[in-house]
Amino acid sequence: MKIDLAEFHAAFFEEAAEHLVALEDGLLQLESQPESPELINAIFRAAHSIKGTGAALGFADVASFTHHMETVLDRMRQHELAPTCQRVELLLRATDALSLLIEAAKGGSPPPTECDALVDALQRQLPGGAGGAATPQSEAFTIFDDEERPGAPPAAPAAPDAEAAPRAPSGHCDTIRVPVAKIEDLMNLVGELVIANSMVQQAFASAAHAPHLMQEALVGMDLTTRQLQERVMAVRLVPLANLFRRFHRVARDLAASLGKNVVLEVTGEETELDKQVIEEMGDPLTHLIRNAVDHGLETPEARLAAGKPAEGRVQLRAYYEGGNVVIEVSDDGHGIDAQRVRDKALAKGLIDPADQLTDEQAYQLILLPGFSTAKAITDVSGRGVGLDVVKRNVEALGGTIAISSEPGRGSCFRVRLPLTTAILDGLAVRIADDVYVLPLLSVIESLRPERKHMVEINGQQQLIMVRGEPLPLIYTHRLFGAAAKAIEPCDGLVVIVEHQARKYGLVVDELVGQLQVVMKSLETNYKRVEGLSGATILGDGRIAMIVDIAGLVRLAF
Amino acid sequence: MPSPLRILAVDDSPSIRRLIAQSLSAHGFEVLACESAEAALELAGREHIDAVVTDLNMPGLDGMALTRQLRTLRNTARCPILILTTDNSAARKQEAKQAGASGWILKPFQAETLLLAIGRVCQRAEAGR
Repeated sequence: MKIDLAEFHAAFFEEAAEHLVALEDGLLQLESQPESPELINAIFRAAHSIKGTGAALGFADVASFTHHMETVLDRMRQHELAPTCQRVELLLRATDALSLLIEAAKGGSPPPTECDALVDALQRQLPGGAGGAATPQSEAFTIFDDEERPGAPPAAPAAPDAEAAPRAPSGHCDTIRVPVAKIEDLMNLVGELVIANSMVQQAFASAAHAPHLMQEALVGMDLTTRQLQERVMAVRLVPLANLFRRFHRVARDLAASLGKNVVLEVTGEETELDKQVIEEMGDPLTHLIRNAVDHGLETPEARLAAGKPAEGRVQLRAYYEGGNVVIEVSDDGHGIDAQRVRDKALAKGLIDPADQLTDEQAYQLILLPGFSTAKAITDVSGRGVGLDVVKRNVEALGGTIAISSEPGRGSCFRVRLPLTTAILDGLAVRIADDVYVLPLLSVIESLRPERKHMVEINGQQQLIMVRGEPLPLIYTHRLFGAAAKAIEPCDGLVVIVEHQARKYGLVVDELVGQLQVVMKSLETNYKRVEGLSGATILGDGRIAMIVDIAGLVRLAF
Repeated sequence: MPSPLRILAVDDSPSIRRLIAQSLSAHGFEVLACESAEAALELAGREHIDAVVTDLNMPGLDGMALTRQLRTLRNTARCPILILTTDNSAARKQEAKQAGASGWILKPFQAETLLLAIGRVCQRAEAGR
């Protein structure tokens, strides 16, 4: 009988990823609580599970490597080896290698080269040298009371052969783990919907003599439908905890290599976000944390000299605000020197000497490609990745990033993200004959300008004065191919939007209203259009384009 | 037609559970799977079970404790219990035997091995009845 192992591989990789997190997490905690038997048991079990399942599914490399980690962990569990800092460090390195080994087993990358050296180092921990060969091979099974006679294994050897274990296709598996409670919630709502439906049917039959029944039934159905939509969306939401967990390691390792002391404080890890958003925020947040440790925090000596504790603090916070999630990365370091940023941007030709930038606007400059305020190239900033990548990733998710800083007190990067990329809170506006949707996240206010508020520069570019602040106007009609129907700002409305700490006035005909829309990609259905991020279908069946403010600003200026 | 033999599989790894289920159900066994010893005990308390295959190292109660407790339940006092594990030490095997286990299967396992071992212990249980 032949069993196709491939279908189990995807499940194994998912499982292994969880065990790797448990391994790393446990090892990091072990540094502060080396005496906890539960902790070391949990770590041991994680390694044990990877080994067992890996071996069963034919990943011999993974199984034999994990076996060596497991042996050391087992000795620690039995109190034969003390969990010293060096051993924990070694096991952490082995965990990294194991993670790469599992990646390699997926077929994505070459296996890590340092495995043999790590195996040697792990074996050296054991008193009396190597603790037996990797994955011991012996009888496939034993039946007790059977004279302990080895069960004759079938023709196939117990060791997995390469043919029976085809490599799983590379790439991550697109599955999601959903708490049963959420599914039960959905079941209940579907039940409600069925009831609401039959009520509508009944009401329809008696509509002639009891119109209020019909109305009541429809209201009920409407409510349930809305709740159902909300809950289905909630299925895609997962807590940030899994993502946040890895940053302890990121901060610790980097601080150690820089000779800094840092404590990472994490709050709000129970905050939930769309799975896709969470996956795509991994790299940007890693970058922000590294940036905080590398560029934000001073050396212990400098901190002491400034009257601060030697240990620097980096805070990672997540919380809901309106319909969005805010993730903050802040440090208590030396802050950002706005003047130095301005000088540097000027030297690099990124800004004009005439530009009057507020501090907040100046901070935004560090997010531009090619900008780096670091005095020396460290191995962190030398990776060729700048904060511009962070900005690009966040904007691609429909989010925004704001920076605040106080000299000597620290800086804060505030990333604001929509709960999900599939649904957008928008402001619908009419431009000429079409309806467009502006992401509510970017909208500040809308107003009907008076002529005395309009300012003209060089007889061309018009500005609008809003409470003493001159804002550039964007004539959407021209940008969206409706120049013939262009209107004067005073004949329509101006919607004030914000992009990268700058405000702009969008000239539109009128407001249609605030609404939640389901985003449809333009790229997959048509092609990419600059200035638009997607399309949606309105309640009355018409199609409305969703405006990408970043793209619109690029188009206009 | 006789009803299929019902096997209780206990392992905290979902893929191992699925592997056992697939290996056995293709050969006419009915497989009930649990992710913990606690769940297995509850199930064994109310369902008829013909044989048990359990992992040794699990969060909560381990396979050894599960074996001991299964032996105290009416449904499973006499049914075959196989330990499925990567552990290959003679001492642990002895311990399992004393706990009441019927046999020991090493991970990694082949479907054929599992079938053979289950077949053998079930036959023996049948003969002893």
